[in-house]
Amino acid sequence: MINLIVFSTLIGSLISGFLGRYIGIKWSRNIVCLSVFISLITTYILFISVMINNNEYRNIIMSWINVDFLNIDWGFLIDKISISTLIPVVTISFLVHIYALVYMNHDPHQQRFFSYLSFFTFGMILLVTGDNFLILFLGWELIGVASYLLISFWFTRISAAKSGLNSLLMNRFGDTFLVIGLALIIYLVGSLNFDTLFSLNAYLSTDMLTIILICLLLGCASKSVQFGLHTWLLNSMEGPTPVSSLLHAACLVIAGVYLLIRCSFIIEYSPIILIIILISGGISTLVSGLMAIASNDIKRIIALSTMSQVGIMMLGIGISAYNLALFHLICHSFFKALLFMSAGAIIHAVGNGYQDIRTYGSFLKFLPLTYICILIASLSLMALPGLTGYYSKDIIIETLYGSYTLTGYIIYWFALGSATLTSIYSIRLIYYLFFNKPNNPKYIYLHLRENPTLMYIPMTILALFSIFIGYLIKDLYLGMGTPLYNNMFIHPNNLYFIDTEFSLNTYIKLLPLITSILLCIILILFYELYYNKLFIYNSKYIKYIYKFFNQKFYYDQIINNYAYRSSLYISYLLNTYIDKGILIFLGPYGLSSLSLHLSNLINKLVFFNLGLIIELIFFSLFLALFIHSYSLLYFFIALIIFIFI
Amino acid sequence: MLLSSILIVTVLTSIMRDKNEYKKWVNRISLIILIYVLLINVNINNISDLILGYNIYNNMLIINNLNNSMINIILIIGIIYMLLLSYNISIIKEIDRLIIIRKWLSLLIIFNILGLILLMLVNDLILLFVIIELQSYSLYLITAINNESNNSIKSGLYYFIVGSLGSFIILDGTIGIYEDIGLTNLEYIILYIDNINIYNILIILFGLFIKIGLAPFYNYSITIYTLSPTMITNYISLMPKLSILTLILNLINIINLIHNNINLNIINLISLIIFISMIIGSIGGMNVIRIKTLLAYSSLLNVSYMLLAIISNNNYSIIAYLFYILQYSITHINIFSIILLIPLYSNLYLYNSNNNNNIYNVMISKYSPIEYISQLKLLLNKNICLCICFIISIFSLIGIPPLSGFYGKLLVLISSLNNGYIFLSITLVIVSSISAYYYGNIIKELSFDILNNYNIFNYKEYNISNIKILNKLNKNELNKNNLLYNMNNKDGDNSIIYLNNNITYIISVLTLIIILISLEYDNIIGGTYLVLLGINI
Repeated sequence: MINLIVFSTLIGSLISGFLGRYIGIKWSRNIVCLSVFISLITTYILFISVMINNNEYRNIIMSWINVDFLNIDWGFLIDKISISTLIPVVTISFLVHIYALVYMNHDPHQQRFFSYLSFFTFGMILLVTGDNFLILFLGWELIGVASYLLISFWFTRISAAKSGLNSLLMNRFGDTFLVIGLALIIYLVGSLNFDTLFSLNAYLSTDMLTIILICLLLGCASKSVQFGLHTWLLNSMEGPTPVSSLLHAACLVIAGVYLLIRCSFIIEYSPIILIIILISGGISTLVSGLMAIASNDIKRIIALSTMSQVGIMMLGIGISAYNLALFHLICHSFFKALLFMSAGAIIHAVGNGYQDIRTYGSFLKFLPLTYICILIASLSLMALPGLTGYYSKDIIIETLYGSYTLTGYIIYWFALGSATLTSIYSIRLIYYLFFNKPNNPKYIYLHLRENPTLMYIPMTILALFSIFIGYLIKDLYLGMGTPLYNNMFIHPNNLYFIDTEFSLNTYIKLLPLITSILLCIILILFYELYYNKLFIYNSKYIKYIYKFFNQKFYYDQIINNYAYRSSLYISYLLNTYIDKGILIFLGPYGLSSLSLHLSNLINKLVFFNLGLIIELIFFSLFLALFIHSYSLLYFFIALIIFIFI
Repeated sequence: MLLSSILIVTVLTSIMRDKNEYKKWVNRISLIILIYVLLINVNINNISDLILGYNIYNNMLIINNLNNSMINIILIIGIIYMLLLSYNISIIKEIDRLIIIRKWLSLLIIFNILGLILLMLVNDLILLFVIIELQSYSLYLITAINNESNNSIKSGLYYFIVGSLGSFIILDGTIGIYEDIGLTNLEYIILYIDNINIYNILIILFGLFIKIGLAPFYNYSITIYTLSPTMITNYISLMPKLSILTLILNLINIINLIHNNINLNIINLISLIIFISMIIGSIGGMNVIRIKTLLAYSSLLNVSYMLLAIISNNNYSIIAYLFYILQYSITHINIFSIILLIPLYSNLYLYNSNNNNNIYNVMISKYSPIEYISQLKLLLNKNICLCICFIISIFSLIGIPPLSGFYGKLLVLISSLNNGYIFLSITLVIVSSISAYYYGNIIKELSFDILNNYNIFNYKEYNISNIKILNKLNKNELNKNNLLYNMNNKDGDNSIIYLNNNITYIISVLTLIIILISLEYDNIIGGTYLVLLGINI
């Protein structure tokens, strides 16, 4: 069954990719969707078996690397963490496949698209189910490649190609460190199995663990868009919307979070890393919120909100509440995928290619179903009571306060600010899309109608998920006796959930809700009644702040000027003087010219004259006599003379 | 049988008129003789009888399983060679006359095969010298057989001088041994092996190395292989090696009986020679433009592989040696017979690519019409099957897995690694990858220049000029119908030349053996293992 989960998507991808031109668009679509569906069904069966019946599966197909003491198998592990991560991955992957049937309906290269999409799913499943770091790394690389292919799917557009490259470059930066981390793990424990490393956790040097974890964290930060390595996320909105919905809601961005949750056994023994994770998560959640309130691109806003939510997951890891992070990961995937899909539905319905929310407006009458979906998703994102987001997000923010540490207290305010900003940009998005004055041309409004029904089926399912799933599986993940504690390790010193549960004041618990509702109301009032106050370019100071946020803290410019240009220059120098200079001269070119030269010499010697040949033969005879008489020393001297003749 | 047959052939040769058909008849008679000898040998000697080996001619010669199987191999190769000689290679006699042979060539070859067979059976140092002279002199004569050709005479003289030096060195070693213990019979020498100066055996070995042209003494072999006619090169670059290497194997078995450091020293010295031969055999061939020079380097390389198998002296070494020499001979004969056929497709003129109208003569000897690697370019357009056979043979030399060369190299590597010669094994791998470069060069010339070929050889003109040449050769004997057919054929398929069934049969069978050797690999190894049982007591 594990094989079925992992490899059915690969088979679908290969069939669609290689045989696509023979079996046609229709059949390749059907086969790919079927393959993901098989994976989905088996995943749910295993979910019940693992989470409810407390089973654990390990499937070792064959041995992969077997050098000295290093044994690495093709092994797959289905425990509670991997199956919990697998649920959103496979569910959303399947729903996105169905969604893409409509969204990509008019594209001429659908076989290729579905092949990539399914291949991405395969990579993600491989990442999640692998039972050692190497399988995980394989999946990690596969999703890197697949995301590059998907983001630059419309490769004839220069911006799509550029953003694909950007994403690949950023991920490669992280992957480099991940590889270093893996090498250090091999150096340290001589194995890449999770079990070996995690069972040795208490006996390893903390410094070494910290170094390893910094490397892993950099890898995770590039995949899970932490501030500093986040630029690719915003650029990658160039890809088709199903891609964004799959990559940036459920799969790619949670890979890093998954790895950190998996590594809970060693993170707990390195307090420095916990603080680093906490700080980076806090900064990225706040910064992305600030960027989002000043952005105007619909998909970019949603992407920034993803970044913010992933930051909150990082906060959950930073205060050692891994089950909270995992729960938020699951819940967030559903409503974020819904949000992306709704945005895609709007883009698809409008059909003029503009994604700027200022060009939209008054879509409420035309797209009611989309409005409902986007409203549910936004409210869930804003963590309104009763919806999914409420159960998962607020508890993390509370736990920050409930940890009663200085860092936790500071980061609590960061997270509170981020939660508030989340509601601001969500309301802003909804207002601009649905209630604002109509800003599009009349032609658009005349032809604006709801998308085909098939597109709304996955959205409806996701809407139901984002309402109910939090309430339904709350106890499974957040309760005191959650079975998740079998597979993750929380150091007793870092166990805060009892404090959080019983010692916090009610107003602390309600503070995020209060601030967000308050600010929402103020914002709506401003939009409706005092809109002239929002003409920010009239104000001297707000203008600069707005520009600063709108240009994403000028981070792109900074990283371009200081990081990219210099590193490009260095790599140019390396390329010119090392790769194509010394190495070529000493390597291929030098060797070949040397051997040709030698060959010339030998051939000259051969066709020289008879006298030399006889001379050589007698010389060899004397050589034999030399050895006959004494030692090898003479022999070597004679040999050297012979060579230099 | 061989001796009596020599008599018959001598008489026949002397009464024969000097005409091509009659020469063929003589060759066919000697072919029959060889086949008959082979049949007799197979019937008389079987493995179970030879397990212990038996001495003949007053303990002068010894026959055991290894010798016996090598006799069979030599006879088979001789038969294949004689087949090439004794039939026309195409239906046009004038073209066939390009491969000129003397009428006493077959006689000399039978002499030489007698020498080669006896050389392997040698059990006495005096007889060793006598037989090596028998073998060598017939070889010198074969090399110089086309005495109107300058190159042929030159190479014969080279061979004579250097070969007599080798004989002299062998004699020197024999004298040294006789001086020490006063014995010449190898069986007795083994009994007193600790009393003699072992370097005398080394000197004998050096003499033999000179005869087969290993690295420090390789110069002359490259020269004579390049200069002598193709048909002769085919013979002299393969046959002597078969028997002399077997003799070396016997001598090294004797050396290995000594249990002290001297033994190790000798093996180290031979390893050094192998190393030098490998390096020179691989690097020397890299910028060679003559096909025969290249094949000479390749044979130097392959001989050093076989010597590596020989010195490693374990159970695998005999298996590796027998297998390698068998597959190498097959590949070698195959390549040379294809090279022999190429001139049929080649124009005696080459066109200047820059100026199509300007036709000029290129030096092409009628003794070795295919001199340069670039002349092989013709083959792909003219006869693609032949081209594929050629490429398969070269792949086998490179060692591409399903072909026979791969298994040979594998066995050599296994035998040398079993004995711990790691440095030489690594050298073998490096060297075979370097040699893949020049083999690959041939393949490039053969197959990757299609467009270039197409432009250079404008087919229509080409055919007409070819016909002119044919007319010049002999107007009367050309088949008019074939010519007309050729005129009408716009594709320029040079179909006037049909190959003889005989040579095509040889080439196809050899190529199939090279390809399909993996089917019978187990049986071959089993057979060689049986041979091994007989000699390593």
